Amino acid sequence: MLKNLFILIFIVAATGCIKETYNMDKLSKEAHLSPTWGVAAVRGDISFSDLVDPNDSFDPIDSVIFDENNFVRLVFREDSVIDLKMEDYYDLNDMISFNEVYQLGDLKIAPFSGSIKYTLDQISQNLSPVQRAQFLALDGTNSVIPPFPVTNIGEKTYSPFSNFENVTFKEGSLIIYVKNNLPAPVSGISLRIFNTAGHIPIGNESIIPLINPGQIDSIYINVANIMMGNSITAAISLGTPGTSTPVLIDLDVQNIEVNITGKDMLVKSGRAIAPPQNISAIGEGDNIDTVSFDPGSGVEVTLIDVTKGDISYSVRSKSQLTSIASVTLLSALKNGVPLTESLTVNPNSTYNGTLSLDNTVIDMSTIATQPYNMVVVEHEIIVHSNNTMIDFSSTDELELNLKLLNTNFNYAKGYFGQKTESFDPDTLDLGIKDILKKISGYFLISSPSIKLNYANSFAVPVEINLRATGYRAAETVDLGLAPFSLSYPAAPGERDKEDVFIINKNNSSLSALVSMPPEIVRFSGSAKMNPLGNTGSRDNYIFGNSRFLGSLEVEIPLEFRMNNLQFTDTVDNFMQEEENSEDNPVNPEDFEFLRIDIKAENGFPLGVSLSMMLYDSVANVNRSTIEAEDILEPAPVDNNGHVTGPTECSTSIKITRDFWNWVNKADKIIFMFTMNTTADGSKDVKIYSDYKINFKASLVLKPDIKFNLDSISIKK
Amino acid sequence: MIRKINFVLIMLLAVVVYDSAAQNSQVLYYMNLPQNHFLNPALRPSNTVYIGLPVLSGINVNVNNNFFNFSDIFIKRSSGDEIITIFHPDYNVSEFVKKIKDINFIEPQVLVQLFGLGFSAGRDLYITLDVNERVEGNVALPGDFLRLGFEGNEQFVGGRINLEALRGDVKYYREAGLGFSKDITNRLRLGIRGKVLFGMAAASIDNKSLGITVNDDYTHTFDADLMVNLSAPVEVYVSDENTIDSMAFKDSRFNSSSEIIDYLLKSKNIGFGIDIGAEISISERFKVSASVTDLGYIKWNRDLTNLKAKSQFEFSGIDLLDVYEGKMTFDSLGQELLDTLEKSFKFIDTQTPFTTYLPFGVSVGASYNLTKSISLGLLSYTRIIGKQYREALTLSANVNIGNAFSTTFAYTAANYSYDNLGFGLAFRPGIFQFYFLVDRIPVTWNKLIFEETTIPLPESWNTIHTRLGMNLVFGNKAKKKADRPMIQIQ
Repeated sequence: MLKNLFILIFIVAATGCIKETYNMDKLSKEAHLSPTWGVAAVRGDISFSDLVDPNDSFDPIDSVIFDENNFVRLVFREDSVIDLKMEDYYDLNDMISFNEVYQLGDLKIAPFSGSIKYTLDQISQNLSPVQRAQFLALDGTNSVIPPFPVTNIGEKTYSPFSNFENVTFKEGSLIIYVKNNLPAPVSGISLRIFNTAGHIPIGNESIIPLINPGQIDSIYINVANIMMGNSITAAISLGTPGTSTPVLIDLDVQNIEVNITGKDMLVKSGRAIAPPQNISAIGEGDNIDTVSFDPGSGVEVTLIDVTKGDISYSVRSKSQLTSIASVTLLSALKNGVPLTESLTVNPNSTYNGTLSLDNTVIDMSTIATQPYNMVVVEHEIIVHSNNTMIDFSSTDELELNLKLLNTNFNYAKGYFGQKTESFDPDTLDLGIKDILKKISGYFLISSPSIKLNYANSFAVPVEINLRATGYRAAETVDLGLAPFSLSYPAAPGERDKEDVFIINKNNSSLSALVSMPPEIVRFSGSAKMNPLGNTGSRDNYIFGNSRFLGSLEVEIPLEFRMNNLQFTDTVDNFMQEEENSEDNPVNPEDFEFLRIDIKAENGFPLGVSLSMMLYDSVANVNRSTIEAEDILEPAPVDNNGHVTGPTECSTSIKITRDFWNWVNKADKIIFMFTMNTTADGSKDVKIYSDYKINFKASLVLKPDIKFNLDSISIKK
Repeated sequence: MIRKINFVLIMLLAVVVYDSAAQNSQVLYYMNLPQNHFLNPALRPSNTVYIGLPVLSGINVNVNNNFFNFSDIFIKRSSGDEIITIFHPDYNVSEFVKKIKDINFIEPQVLVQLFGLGFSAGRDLYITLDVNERVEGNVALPGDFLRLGFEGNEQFVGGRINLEALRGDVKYYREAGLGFSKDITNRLRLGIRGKVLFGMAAASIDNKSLGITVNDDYTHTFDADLMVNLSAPVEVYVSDENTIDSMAFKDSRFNSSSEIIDYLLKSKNIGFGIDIGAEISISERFKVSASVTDLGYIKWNRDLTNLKAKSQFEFSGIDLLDVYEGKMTFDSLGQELLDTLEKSFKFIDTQTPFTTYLPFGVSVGASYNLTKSISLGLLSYTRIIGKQYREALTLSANVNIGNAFSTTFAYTAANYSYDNLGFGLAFRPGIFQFYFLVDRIPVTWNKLIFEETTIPLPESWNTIHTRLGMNLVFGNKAKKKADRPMIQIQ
């Protein structure tokens, strides 16, 4: 009984009332979880100075400047945009160079002389036999010398002269002295001189009418342009009227003496011994010469102050003479003393040397007729043949070459010409062409400026002509800057001048150019020295280290206005899921919604709106759009463009399932940001570094997390 | 049909070894069974001696929860026989969320009675000795925690997700109890049962404060002041940033059976407990009783790990300035949130002994004997677990015939359900006392079909209490009245 009761109880307990039958074989494994989660995503309390430190550098911006009142300026710097050195314009080494060839000219030779005698005996030998016999009979007696007619008493050759072999005289005279050592006067003396070689007469026949006993008479024979050897023969004819009184007659002693002398002879060629002689009169005919320099077309140098340097010179002799030269630069004063140099040039050789110009002032203005580019040189040149017979010609040359070397100038003064140096045209590509294609709307930067900071140590007036043109598609804007002059130092006391030239909206169209903004800017320009030309004052100074160094500083104060400035960009749809992507259990289309709540206190005078479009480029249609108007509203500003207080704004951006449905069907996403400054860009606003934006962005999402009960695995 | 019945019988008989002792069995209280001294040490069974045998003492597994049944999770479509879960896209999960209580608990309990002995000593003294192996757990999940998982945090904007009710307490301990009950007066019987508790392992969460505040701007503030105490052979690795890196079981300590035995027998975690009870006979028919059971504690000293988390952390998103400075990316938002959650709990690893208290129960009952064999009973059982309590109120009709047959029909309102019918049956052929109790008879059942197998399942399984067992009892004859007439008529 108990057993039955027991079984009954179990039956009741076990099989009482079956409420439901669950066929677990038909359990659906589909599962999902779709909670709604909100989380604070991003926050920020950011001021401009948090994002940008003063003097930060961002390519291409070189620095961001915060003024004392926190106003922000962007500065682009380009150092050493212009770097012109003295050697870019002038090479004074080339300017001061000299080369001249001098002919030595006519030389003097040492005096020479010779003597021949005709004895009475020799004379009587040329008489008739009767007269000969007569004289023979009278020899040794005191008798009256019988007269005889002019008789050729024959030729006699002088002893050869030792100081030349043959010469052609430039000028000079042979002086022939005839001395009557007979006791009777001689008359009708006819004298002819011949080069012994070739018996070539030298000059014409000379006649002396009468020479009394014991008297001398002379004949001058001009030998200019006459070639004469060192052996001369004289041919004499004479007569006598006899004596009226008896005289001692000595045929062997009593004679006619003929002396020949050459003196102050100037030869122009030949072979001779040249005694030391000063030929300094070569050149301009005296020992003073001017050396003329050619520093370049239109350049007139009046003075050079050399701190260190040398004159390199070479003297090349094309003569068999030895030259001893002494050169003095009268207008090159070293410590107040003219520079002098002595040198010896051997025959047919070149002598090289250097003359130090350290601490030397070269005055090139001492010549009244040309008070520039000229240096006065005094020279003394002694030549000789070392007591040897040499071949010589007055056209023998001496070549002089001068060049400045390794010269450091303190300064040079003069007029350095009206040179124009053009800057190489340059194109500045801002690299924003692609960005500009995506930008539309109105944007104006109010007060940009370009500063040319320069240091100029050329004491020369310079006028700059700077041209710049901005290009953006078909639009161009010229800078429109008039040529301007640069400051230069008041030399010689002032050697350097620093100054700045500012290009801004007051003297150019810079604001319009910068605000284009341009894709590229083409620069060109030129610098003209001495724009007024040569005024005759010759008061340009260039220093040895003269340099023009210029840097550009483009300054853009953040004072601007924007109206409907839109930046549109089309990117590949990064939200699109890759094919066969199985890793992510949550697919974007599984979001019922995703909402971004943004609350902000905007202290910037800049408002932003955003729209995001899913674009199907194949069908050329926008599939879905998310609009977020006035994510930020601009803060109000006062009349000076300074923000007076923040603006509170609140936005929700809802991304719906519809959007998610199209995510994988659109291949592109188009973002469009629209920005406006306060009052829709109708007035300028200024950016200060203490502007702040405080915002909080929250993400509220309702994902639809699908999973399968068969394959539940917990993933992190 | 017969096959199904046999299947169910087999299932139930297999539950012979299941003895629910931890959660009070309301049906047991007024039944004439030696085990009722667990509910009130003043209650004395009718037998002189009872022995609870180790093999047959049983293992009790009991799981209670208060927030879902089978049909809450699995739903049958209105047409067709497809089954869907609450996670199915076609199911409105908010319907399930509505069922979530503010505090949702799950209480698994296991008890293994190693030995039981009870005997009378003297006229009215009854002594009991029991050794039980007990595993008790109770995990309370705040409703907000579950709502957060199912529906997200949008509903909490502007408020606080209160997780202070999050509780976890699992203990494995051995209980050796010695009980005494005696008539103090002819109306008052008192009982006391002292227990020595030997803790094996424990994990408990002492939650002083835990919550997440969700502000209007979706910033979250995490606040935590809780302590996780462990007494177990585990190694917890805490990073330099005081976050938990990993936890590992020290299985190297259990390489041999002797090490296992040492672990089980040489516990340093000692505690004490007490059950006290009283029964007052107001009149011959009317009795009231009351007891406090499982009042005790265990002090844990072995294999200690304390993880204290006390911090407050706010997550307000990533700072855009950090992104700008390259310290962070937008993609790291999710990781940043997880890191914040991790960082919001900074654990300090100490090894401080801790004390856990047993959930105790307070029983108050009254019974009225209609007849010698039939009584009506009213029992209120309140179980206090930390700051929470659970109340069960039972009305029973009890029959006890000659200490050989006892049955009880009970109605219990408990655990948010009001359709708990209980039944108990005990009969004693000879010295073997068989009994069967069920506190909640599943009135309605669901049938589950797995391929060709059919399994019946109670429709509601918030509470599963069954007891089936066997005792050896001696000295159960009902005492005849010993009164002698004052005048004997011969």
